Amino acid sequence: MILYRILKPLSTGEIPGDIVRGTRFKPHIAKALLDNTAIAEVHGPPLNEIPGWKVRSEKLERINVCTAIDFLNVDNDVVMKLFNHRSSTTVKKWKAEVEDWLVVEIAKKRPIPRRMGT
Amino acid sequence: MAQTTNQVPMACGKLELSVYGCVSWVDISGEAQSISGTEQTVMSGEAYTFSGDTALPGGGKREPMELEVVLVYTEADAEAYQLVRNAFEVAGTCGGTICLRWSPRGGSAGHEQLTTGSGQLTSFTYPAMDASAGGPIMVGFTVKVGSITTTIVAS
Repeated sequence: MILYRILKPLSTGEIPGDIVRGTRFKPHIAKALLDNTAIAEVHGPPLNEIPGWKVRSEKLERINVCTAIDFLNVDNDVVMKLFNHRSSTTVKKWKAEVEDWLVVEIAKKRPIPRRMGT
Repeated sequence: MAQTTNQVPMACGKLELSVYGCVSWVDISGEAQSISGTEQTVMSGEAYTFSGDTALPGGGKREPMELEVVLVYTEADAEAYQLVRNAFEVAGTCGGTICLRWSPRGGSAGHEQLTTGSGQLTSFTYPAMDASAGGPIMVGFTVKVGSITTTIVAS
């Protein structure tokens, strides 16, 4: 799955700093927005760069999950199995943490955060 | 510095209006001829002192703009003239409100779009007649707005 970072205010309400899923835009819209530098594909950093994620990231490398984007896209069940968790609550919490880490400050300062719009 | 190749033609834009609280929009590009009055100014002033030789300039708020739209007069209910006339004549509201948005490059995905906040209709031109003229009847309206927001069309 592709994630986009919003670079310019969009007519659909997103503002610079927002992170949205690739499914937010039809392919031809996404192309036009990319061509006009209104959005950019998010290239997530390695997981081991996230504070407190060193040990967790080493384990995730076993299933070829190396970057923040890899982790957001991986199936929750696969991660649950890797960490011997019975529910997906913790995995969802981790994903929220990574997602939050990817969102720049300008988006966090908004009164009503609009993150990971679909 | 190389000369730009990103110039935008004046005549190929898209203009829409909303008389429904800036929510649903009607494309009036088929009836609108022009929009003008897009310059916005900032309040400013200056003061002088006995010691200084030049002014002390100061700035204030952005002043409102009066956008003027020229339309072709038509009698179809769903077209611009009748929509704006209905908004202008609505009783008991101290004048109608209206929103405008336009896209100089045509309004496709990736193009810039300028959208006003809710504006006050301050004038409306009813059709005139002239037995010596050959062109269509032109009408128009003026709307006073406080600001314009620029976004990128993403739908």
